Amino acid sequence: MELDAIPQLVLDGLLTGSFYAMLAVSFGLIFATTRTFHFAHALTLTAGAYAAVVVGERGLPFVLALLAAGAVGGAVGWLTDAGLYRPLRRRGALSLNIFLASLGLLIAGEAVIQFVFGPNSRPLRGFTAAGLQAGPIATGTVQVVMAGVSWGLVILVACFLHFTRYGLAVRGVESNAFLAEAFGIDRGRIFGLVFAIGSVMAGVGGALLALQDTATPTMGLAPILAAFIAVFIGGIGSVAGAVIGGVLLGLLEHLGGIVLPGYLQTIVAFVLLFVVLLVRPSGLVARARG
Amino acid sequence: MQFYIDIVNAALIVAVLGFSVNLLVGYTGLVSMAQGAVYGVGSYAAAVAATKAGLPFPLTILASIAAATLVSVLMSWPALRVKGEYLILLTLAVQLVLSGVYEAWVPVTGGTSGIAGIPQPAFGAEFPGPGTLLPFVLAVFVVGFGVSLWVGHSPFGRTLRVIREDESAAESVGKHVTYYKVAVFALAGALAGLAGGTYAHYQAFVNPVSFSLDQSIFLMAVVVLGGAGNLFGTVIGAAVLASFPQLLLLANFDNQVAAVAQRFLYGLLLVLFMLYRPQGLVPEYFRLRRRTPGRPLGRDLAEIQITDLNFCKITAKGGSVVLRATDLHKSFDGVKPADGLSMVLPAGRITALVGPNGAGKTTVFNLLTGFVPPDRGRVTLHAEDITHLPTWQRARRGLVRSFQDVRICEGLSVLDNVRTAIPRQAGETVGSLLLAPAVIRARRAHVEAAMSYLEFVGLAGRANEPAAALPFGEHKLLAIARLLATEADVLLLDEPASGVDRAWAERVLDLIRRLADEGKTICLVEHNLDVVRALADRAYFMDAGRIIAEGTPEELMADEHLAAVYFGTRSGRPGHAGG
Repeated sequence: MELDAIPQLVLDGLLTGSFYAMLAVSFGLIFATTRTFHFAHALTLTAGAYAAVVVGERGLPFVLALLAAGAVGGAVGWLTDAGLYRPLRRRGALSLNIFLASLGLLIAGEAVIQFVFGPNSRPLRGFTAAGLQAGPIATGTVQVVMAGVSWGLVILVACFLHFTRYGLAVRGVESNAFLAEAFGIDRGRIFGLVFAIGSVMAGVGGALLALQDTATPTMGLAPILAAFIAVFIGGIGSVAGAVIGGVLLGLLEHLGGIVLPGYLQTIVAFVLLFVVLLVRPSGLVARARG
Repeated sequence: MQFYIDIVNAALIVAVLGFSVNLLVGYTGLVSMAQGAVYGVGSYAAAVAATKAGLPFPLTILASIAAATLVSVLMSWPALRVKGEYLILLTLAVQLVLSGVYEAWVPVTGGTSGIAGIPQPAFGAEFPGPGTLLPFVLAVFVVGFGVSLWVGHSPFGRTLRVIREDESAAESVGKHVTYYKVAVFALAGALAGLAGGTYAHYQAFVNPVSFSLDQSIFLMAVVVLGGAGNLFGTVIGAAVLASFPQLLLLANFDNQVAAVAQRFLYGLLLVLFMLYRPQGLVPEYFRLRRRTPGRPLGRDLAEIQITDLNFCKITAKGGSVVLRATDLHKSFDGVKPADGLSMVLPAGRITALVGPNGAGKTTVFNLLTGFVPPDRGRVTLHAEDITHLPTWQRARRGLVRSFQDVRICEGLSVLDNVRTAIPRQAGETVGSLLLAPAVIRARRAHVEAAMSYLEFVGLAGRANEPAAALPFGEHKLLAIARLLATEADVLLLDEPASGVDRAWAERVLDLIRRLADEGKTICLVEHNLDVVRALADRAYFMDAGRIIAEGTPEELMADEHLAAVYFGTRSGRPGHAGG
């Protein structure tokens, strides 16, 4: 027990949690609106990361790498919806079958990335990392950029959902797709839109992760699992819930280290998920449905 | 040669794992992404038992079966509380936690380097190799396949399919859904444990890579590509997917490329199959013909003696109260679909429940059958208090219902829909499955009984068709056959004749009348007042969660006030007694 370390761990937890929160919002938006268990979201993230790496290797500025990651991520996600989920939905596929197709796409897509870029990890160049120190607490510019970009994207999405007509349409489809269609909203287009938005976020997330660590073909699953868990903990269909779930997860992962040996830290998230699913299946921020 | 035998052995082990996944996912509809990890529990149990505890060979396999079964049953406890995506996520969590344990619990599992030096059973040979081990692996496969086929095609397995199709339908015909789910988790655990122990002894080495999430996904692919719900399909899926990377090695690909190519292949196959052939290579009802020619569409009703059928031995005397509900209350967020509701159902009589839309008629059925627990009040059946009994126990005591939305299991054949509902079948529980001769003997009798119910509703000629092939009206008839098959003596019928072709509606009404004559207690929710007038001895008039009048149908229909309520021109006044 090192209580002195708590401020540092809280900071680390909040920074990681911000990143999880962004990924959770990106997955939560897709899941709540389309009810697709979009496992291949992990592939979108990886594609974004490699896009950033390729741009970085050309010696282009970091901002361009982020933009490229967002663009490639958005394109991959939109194409996944249009090319895979839409035909499946048209055939009346069960949600289990859609999930399995998504799983297949992730596996096949990772194999393709491994063929093209090799199995080894690739760093994201073009950003000079530096340490930051404030009294006893230390962090790095990379972590601050991650958290900053994450919050920026979350706020943008929240504003989009609450202050624009398209955002209203998205919320309409989410709460009752049938009724929304009766009011002339094209469900398919809204689905495509949320896939694009969520996937841009995941792509940027991939770039941020590659910046912190490196890009590898199988990098996507762990952070996307964290996002799944955050969404289910926080409650489906609520930006606030996803954010709370993500931050909580980040904090627990780091603070868990005080009482638990290192190898058990990864389990903390799943224990939390277990407890929430059993005690309060609708999530911590349950939303009243009409 | 040894190389090819090794491929065969690997595929056989994967097939046994596939059976375990298929029973869970294909049969019962419980998606588990943790079977790779449960397989690991079995493998590590055998490895530890052999290398650390010094247990001799066949006993180690028993240890792996026991350990994996235990873990699987433990997993079923939280898994029973969640559904759909939540279950996927939860089992995913179990998989990742166990993977973490395999890597981190070094003193027991050896961490990432695993456990080596597991003794290979020699079976008399000087140097055990794939060839000498083939009989052992083959025997394991035969046992696994045999057990899975036996269970899958028994009444137990049929009930699993019903649960997959519609849990509430299974409950409504007296099946204890939780029991079946725990049992199938245990069975899937045992099979995975068997495969795990075999694998440990075959490879003489285990490490966490073999039990990762990738393994779970791979197994899912084996089952789905082969055909979920069909065990032969699983064998084919295992043969194709397990041998593919090995064959690439033959074509001089290096190891790593072969592994990536395998992943690409089964990922791509998953996508393509979901798009173009979601039922898999061998669909669930592979031998099922679309239409069985020859048999007439049921005999004339007059020809069939109700006493021919297995209808239950009715004990209650005509007119005596069989079911009594006293002062039932239920409210959902301020809406009160039952607000101090009391009623009695006498034996051998048809009682109708009428009232405007939203009066709470279907809620009454939900309260009586236990689908919804009342906030207050009491329900008794044959003077026994059943207020707190679950639905399936009420069904076993002879109280069953039909659903307005029918809830036929479309993925099962017409015959199986009815056969499932027959109570107390041999082979319906894990214990009775062990008595094979009794199960086989009973099978014939149950098919005949089910056919007679189908004849009764005129569907005998379509017994072997998938229920999905029937039009809606015939689903209603099938639902009635299923209800009769439960042998219950109290039948709650929710709009039994609506949506049915006129001629058949006549038949259904005729049938209901004859059932009452035989002593069955019947309660009917019906919108068609002509039907009510023709059938019912007494009727309760409901509005806003209360009974506002009772009497003969003629008396109620003559009441102008009730007519006004019924057609929505006036709201009901509690306390008004018609007749």
